[in-house]
Amino acid sequence: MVRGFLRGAGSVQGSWLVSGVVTCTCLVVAMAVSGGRSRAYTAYSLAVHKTEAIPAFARKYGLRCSACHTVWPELNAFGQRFKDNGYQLGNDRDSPMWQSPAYWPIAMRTTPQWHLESTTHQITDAAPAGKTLRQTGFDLSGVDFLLLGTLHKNITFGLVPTLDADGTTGLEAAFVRFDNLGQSPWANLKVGKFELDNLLSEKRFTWLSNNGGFLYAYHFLPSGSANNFGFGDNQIGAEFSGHSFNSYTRYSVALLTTDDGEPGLPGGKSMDAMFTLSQAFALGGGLGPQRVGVFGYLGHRPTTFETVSGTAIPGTGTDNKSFYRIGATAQLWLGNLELLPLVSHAQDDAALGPGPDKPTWNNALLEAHYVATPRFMVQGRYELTRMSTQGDPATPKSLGDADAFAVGFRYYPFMISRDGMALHGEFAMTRTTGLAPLSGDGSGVDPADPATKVWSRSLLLAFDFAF
Amino acid sequence: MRPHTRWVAVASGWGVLLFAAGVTRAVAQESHIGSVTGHAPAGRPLYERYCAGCHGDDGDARGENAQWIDPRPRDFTMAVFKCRSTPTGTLPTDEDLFNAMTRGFVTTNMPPWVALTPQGRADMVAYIKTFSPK
Repeated sequence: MVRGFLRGAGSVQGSWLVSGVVTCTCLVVAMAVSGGRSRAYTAYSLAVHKTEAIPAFARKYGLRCSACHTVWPELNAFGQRFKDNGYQLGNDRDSPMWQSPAYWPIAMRTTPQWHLESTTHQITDAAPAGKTLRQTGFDLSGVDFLLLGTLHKNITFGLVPTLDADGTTGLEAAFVRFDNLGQSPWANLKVGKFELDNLLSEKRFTWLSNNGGFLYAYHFLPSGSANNFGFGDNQIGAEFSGHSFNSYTRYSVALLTTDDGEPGLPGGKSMDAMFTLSQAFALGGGLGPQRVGVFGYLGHRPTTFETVSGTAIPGTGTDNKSFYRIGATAQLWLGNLELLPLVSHAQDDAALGPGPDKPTWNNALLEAHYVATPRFMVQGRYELTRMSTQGDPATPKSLGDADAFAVGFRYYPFMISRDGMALHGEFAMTRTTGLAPLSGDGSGVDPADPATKVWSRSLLLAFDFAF
Repeated sequence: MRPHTRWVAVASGWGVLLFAAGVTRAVAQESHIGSVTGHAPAGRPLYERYCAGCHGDDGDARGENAQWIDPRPRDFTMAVFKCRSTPTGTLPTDEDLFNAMTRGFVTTNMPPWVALTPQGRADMVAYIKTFSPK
C-alpha cells in the first residue's frame, strides 16, 4: 500500500515523504538511544510525583510519601529502615528539639466510601433455610489517630487511639521504644501494645473492603475453637529487635501476655512468644531488594480461672494449653511488579478446640502489586485455607476451608509531603465451607449444612485520606 | 541539484547529527560505581520518588519542600558539590555522588539512602548527572 501511494503521488511528493520518514526515524532513534529524556522532553511532560501514610513524618522530615511507601500505607525498603530505626532518619534531626514548637506529631486517617456486600446461604428469621443477603450504601470507616514520633533521640513513642464509625473508641497501639541500645542497631526494646513484626503487615496493606481487608492466615480459627488469638491483632508485651545498618537483615523476639491485645489482663498468667527473621538481597532491578523471612508464634490460653460468684477473675487463668503458628513469607520485585507470597501452618491444643483431636490447618496466599507509578497501583490476591485435622473427628474435614480472592486499584491524585488521598476501588470475594465468612457480612450465622459453600462478595469505592 | 534531492540531503544530515547527539547523551547518562553501571532512564522514576520533593523535578533545588529546609538542598544544575575526592572546581566522581547519597549528611535534611539497592542508587547518580551539561 505504501508503494502504491508513492507511485501515485509522483516523484516530488515521494521525495518529501522520504525526507520526512528519514527525519522522523532519526529523531525517534536519537530519543530512544538517549533514553527519551531530554530537557525539552522534561519541559512539556507532566510532573508525576507523590505518596504517604503517616503524614506527621512527612511534615517533620519534608519527604514525600513515596520516600517511605511503595504506595501508602505499604512500606518500601527505605520506610522499613526508618521504622526499624525508631522513626528516625539518623541525620541528627530526629529529636523533637529540632522541630518547630508548633509541630505536633499527629496524623488522622479515615475512608468515606460506598460499598456493596452480598452473602449467600444466610439464615434469617424469615428464611430459616437460608437466603442471599445484600447490604449496600454510603458508609464511613472509623478514624485512626496516628501519634508517632520521638520523645528524645533514640526514644520512640507510638499512640494510636481509634474512633469507630458507631462512636466506639479503642486503643490500637500505645508503646515506647528504646532504640539503638549501646549505639547498636541490633538492640532495640519496645514495650506496650503494638503490631507484631509481621513481614506481611496487615496494618500497612492496601486492602479496605470487608472481605478483602484482612488475611485468613492471620485470623482464621477452626469452628468451635475457644482460642481468641489473631496474628493480625496488636498484642501487649515487650519486643526485642534488631537490624543491620541497611535493615536488610532483621530479627525480632517478643514476649506477650495471653490476652490477644485486650487490656486489663483478661487472660492467664503465662506468656506467648513470637519471633521473626528475614534477610533481603540486592538482586535485580526492581523497586526494592528481594526479601525472604520466617516467623513463628507459640501461645497459650488458660482453660480454668479463679472465680467469684461464678465470674472469672481477670488475670488468674491457669491450666494453659498451647497453640502455635509458623510460616514463611517473601517480598519479591520483578521491575515494578511486587509479589508477596506467604505460607503458614497452625495447630491448637485439643483442649482449645471442639473435640478430642488437635485441630490443624494450613494457609497459603499470593499477593501481587503492580506499582505503575508512586501514584497508581493495581493489585490482586488469592488466599486459601485448608483444614488438615478437625478437632472433632465427626465433622467433615472441609468444614472451615476458605478461598479468598481480591482485585483492586489505588490512585493518588496528588503526592506531596503534607497529606495524602487515594481513590480506592476493590472487589473481593470469599468462599467458606460450612461457616459464615470472617468478614462478618450477612447474618453472621453459620449455615445449617456443614458442607454448604457460602459466598461473600464485597465491592468498594472509597476516598482514603490522611493528613 | 534538484530541490527535493537537497531536502533529502539536509534532512538526512540533521538525522545523523541528532543520532550522534543521542548516542553521546546515552554515554553521558551512565554512572559507574565499581562493577555497577547506573542508567539514567532507570534512575528517573527513583529520583521522582525519593529526591524530587527537595531537589526539584528538574534538579534545580526548587522542590516543594526546599523553602522549609536549612541548609537548602543541592542544586544539581550547578554541578557544584562539597563532598568529593576531586580538586576544587572540578566535578565529583560517580562514586563521590554515590557515597554521598548512601551516607546522607548529618545536620542536614539529607538522609542516608542506604536501604535502596546499589543498582538503584547508581541509576539515580546517572540521572542526577543529566541535570547539568557539565
